[in-house]
Amino acid sequence: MNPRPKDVAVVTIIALVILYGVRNHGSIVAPSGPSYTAIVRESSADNAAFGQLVIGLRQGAAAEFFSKDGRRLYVLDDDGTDEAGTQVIPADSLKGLPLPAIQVYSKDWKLLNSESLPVDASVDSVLATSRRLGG
Amino acid sequence: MNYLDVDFTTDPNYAAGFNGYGDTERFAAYGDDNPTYPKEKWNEIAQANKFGCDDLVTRIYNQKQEGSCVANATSQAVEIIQAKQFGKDRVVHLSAISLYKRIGRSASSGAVVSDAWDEINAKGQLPLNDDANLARFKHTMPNTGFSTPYPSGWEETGRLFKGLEAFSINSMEDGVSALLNGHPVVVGRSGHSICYVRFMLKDGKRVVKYANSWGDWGDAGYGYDSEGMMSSAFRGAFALRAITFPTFQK
Repeated sequence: MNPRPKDVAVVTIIALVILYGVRNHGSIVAPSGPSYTAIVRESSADNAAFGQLVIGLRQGAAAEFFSKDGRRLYVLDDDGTDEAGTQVIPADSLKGLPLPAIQVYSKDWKLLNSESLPVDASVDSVLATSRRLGG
Repeated sequence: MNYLDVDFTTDPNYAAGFNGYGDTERFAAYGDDNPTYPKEKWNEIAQANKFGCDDLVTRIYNQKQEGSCVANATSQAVEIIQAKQFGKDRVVHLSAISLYKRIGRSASSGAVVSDAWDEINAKGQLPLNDDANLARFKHTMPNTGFSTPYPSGWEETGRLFKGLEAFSINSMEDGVSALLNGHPVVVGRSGHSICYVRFMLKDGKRVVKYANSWGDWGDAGYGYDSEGMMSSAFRGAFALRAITFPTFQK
């Protein structure tokens, strides 16, 4: 029995959605629930444009987005440490990733996705990227 | 323009507290590890900048009549970097006196700026004893009250609020660039220390906006220094770039 054209179309669409998800998110389904977004940079590269981006992300709708539904946004140095002197961002997670980068973590700090961030990224583009990566 | 080049010494809030910069020469110079801009670029960048560190300020300090301005200005800078790294809604307000007690000799002795950096870098400082912090942290202190003793074992909490990266500011170019890049600068002049938060053009003139620590004073807690005034302040000041990422913020 030959499949109906309608069934073929549905299967094709599902396959494309899965392929898109795997390619862009590293997984099929973006995680649900709280997630943490980290912008990781080499702080010696903090220029005026990056300063504007970071302060802009702490204002208005962007700040609201990153404080709602358990979300958080961190802006961190690639070798920033906690009070015990332990590096916060695992160095392995940054291997081969040009900085600045954006990383999305699950609530229990499992890395979900990461990619480089354009040096001229805007507040809107960071929001869009965070969402796309599961944030 | 109101509150421009204020002579602090004539203000009723004034308590001499800035005893100089101390040895900030041993810090790395800002221009050695950060982008800087020549004078002819300042106006263009300032006009393009929509935000300044004042957009990260979550409260204005009030040192009352103690000579703790250096500690208050430094604490303001630390809170600004907290807002940058973790978000304004996650800023933990700090106790300036928990820093000042280690850099001043008495309530009115004042302090030098380099000592403030040394102490926040080495031991950090304590959170303010507001309701939120009392419920959250084992050790807190008020913002004022030099005679207030440290709570026993305070270092355990203090180290959650340590400074990581600061740079000396010894030129106009370094000072203005730090502000244009979004780094607060702790400065002193006229016997008083303040936190510079934004380089801007106001009525066509270059000025710097600062957060004072006199509570409801000036322009909603802020004042302004002209180019001439800031050039004298940018001689041994420090810019703060990064603080510890404490585990409780995770």
